[in-house]
Amino acid sequence: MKAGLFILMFLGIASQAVADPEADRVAFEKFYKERLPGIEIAAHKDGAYALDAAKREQWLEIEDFPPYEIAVDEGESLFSVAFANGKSYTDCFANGGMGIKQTYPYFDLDRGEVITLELAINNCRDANDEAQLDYMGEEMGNISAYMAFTSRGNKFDIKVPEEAVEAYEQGKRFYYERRGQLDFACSSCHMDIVGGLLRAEILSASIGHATHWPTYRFKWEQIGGIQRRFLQCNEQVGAESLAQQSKAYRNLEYFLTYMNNGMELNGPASRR
Amino acid sequence: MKHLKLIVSTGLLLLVLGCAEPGRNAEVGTSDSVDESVDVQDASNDVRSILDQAESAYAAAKAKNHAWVITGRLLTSASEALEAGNEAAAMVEAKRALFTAQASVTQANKEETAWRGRVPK
Amino acid sequence: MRSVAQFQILLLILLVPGISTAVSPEQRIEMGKAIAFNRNAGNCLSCHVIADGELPGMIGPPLVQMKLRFPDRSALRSQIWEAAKRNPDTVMPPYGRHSILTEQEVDLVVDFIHSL
Ligand code: HEC
Ligand code: HEC
Repeated sequence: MKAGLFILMFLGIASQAVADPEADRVAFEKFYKERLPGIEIAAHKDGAYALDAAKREQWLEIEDFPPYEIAVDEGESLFSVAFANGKSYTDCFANGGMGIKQTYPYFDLDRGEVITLELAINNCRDANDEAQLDYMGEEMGNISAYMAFTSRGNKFDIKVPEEAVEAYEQGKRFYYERRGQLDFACSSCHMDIVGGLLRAEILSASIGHATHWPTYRFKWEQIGGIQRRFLQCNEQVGAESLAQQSKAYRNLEYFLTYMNNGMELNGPASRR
Repeated sequence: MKHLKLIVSTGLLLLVLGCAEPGRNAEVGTSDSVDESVDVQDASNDVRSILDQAESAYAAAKAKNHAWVITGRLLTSASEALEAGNEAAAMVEAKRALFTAQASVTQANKEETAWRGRVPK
Repeated sequence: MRSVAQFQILLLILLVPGISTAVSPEQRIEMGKAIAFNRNAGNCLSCHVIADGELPGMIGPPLVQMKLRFPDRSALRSQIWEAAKRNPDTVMPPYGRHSILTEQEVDLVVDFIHSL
């Protein structure tokens, strides 16, 4: 018994020590290549619409008159408005906030935590004595939509420094753990039965899950961030969802986005 | 809707008092069935003690980000039933809350290691 | 939620001594079908093609010829109670073990599925 425990502990430490995000990402990509051989990895940025010709057709028609266009326009004007102290968002971000989404989320070494784009927007407001925005609200959606729009075509370049390995591992674990009364992991739906038909819905690949946020969802009748989707994917299996921008969701987003490294950003987008 | 509620609560009462139906989860069904002569105060204390256990298992699952939606709902409805003086219905709900809370803790513990097997190599 | 409550009423009628004898095997199959098809209860159509069921998913195999597949009724019950017993990596929810359905509801669903 003791010896067994010891071996378990040893294995635990060993696997801790070999945590290698890049090896994870390569294996992740290989998984989808083998599982869905007819589909280029790059094509998964369109989610389920990469997997079904008829649904893609309908979706392309919608994208001709993108429902997120207003959000991008409003985001642009919101972005340039000066705060009460005379400063603005441009002062908080690299390159004035333009074309930078491919580096989010990142691990902030000083704060010792993962910073998503939405959190950075609120941190910027905080630093300038402005009120926090609601993470599910219109204004946050609009500003992040504009920032995403300026980043289109760039490729994800997420880094996991040594100090960030634990946060990355937490996110990875969240992704693979079964949760809820129905007992599903994210990987159950988006890997084990990816491409399958769940009722009328085709299950998308997680490679491509991070590229297109925020997204206008017809179901929401609004533009919303990736963590709002996490909330729904948790609740639909009978698991309690967590707060938007909670540490666990930020770590999950960090892991998931790292798995999308090298993919092209194409946000904002529209989804059913 | 009111009408439905009435039928349901009468139904639940019957379940506990009358037949051998232990509620949603046979596993947690206690053997000491509530008989009609039982002191109301005692019945309410019994429910409270099960509710307490359920609350603490629920909190443990929540701390691990593993709580289930159903448990929260059952805890609320059990407390409401107790408040309304409907011990029998409260007991059924409380037992279901306890069962689901414990199952969510079991799941959380199992997943401490089980997730590793799902990572592609 | 509402429909779940309705099932409980159905079950109640079924279980009150004296009335239960009045429920025929055909009625049990009908009740099992209602539970299996209900989105807030069994929701089996999310993943299985089942005769009469609209908009089915295709994650699991179509549920046909169940008596041939499962001559042993208890093996069928076990699949529905806890599919992971047979396949630890399954994506089929543990209807009994996680109390998604009551024991009585599971039994009614088994009656229905076995009749397919
Ligand atoms: C029961 C199955 C199921 C589980 C479990 C599940 N999801 Fe989903 N998810 C869906 C469905 C259905 C959709 C909508 C169709 C699609 O795009 O795959 C979806 C969509 C998504 C999307 C949006 C895809 C897009 O193209 O916009 C993301 C991101 C996502 N899920 C992440 C997750 C994460 C992270 C988890 C784990 C916390 C998770 N999902 C768990 C079923 C599931
Ligand atoms: C999330 C998808 C999902 C749902 C929902 C689901 N199943 Fe399944 N089911 C499966 C899969 C996948 C299998 C294949 C075997 C396995 O993995 O356990 C299966 C296998 C079965 C089998 C064995 C079939 C055979 O021929 O071996 C039966 C019977 C069954 N399911 C019944 C049900 C019933 C009844 C319900 C509803 C109460 C249900 N399933 C809900 C996914 C599902």
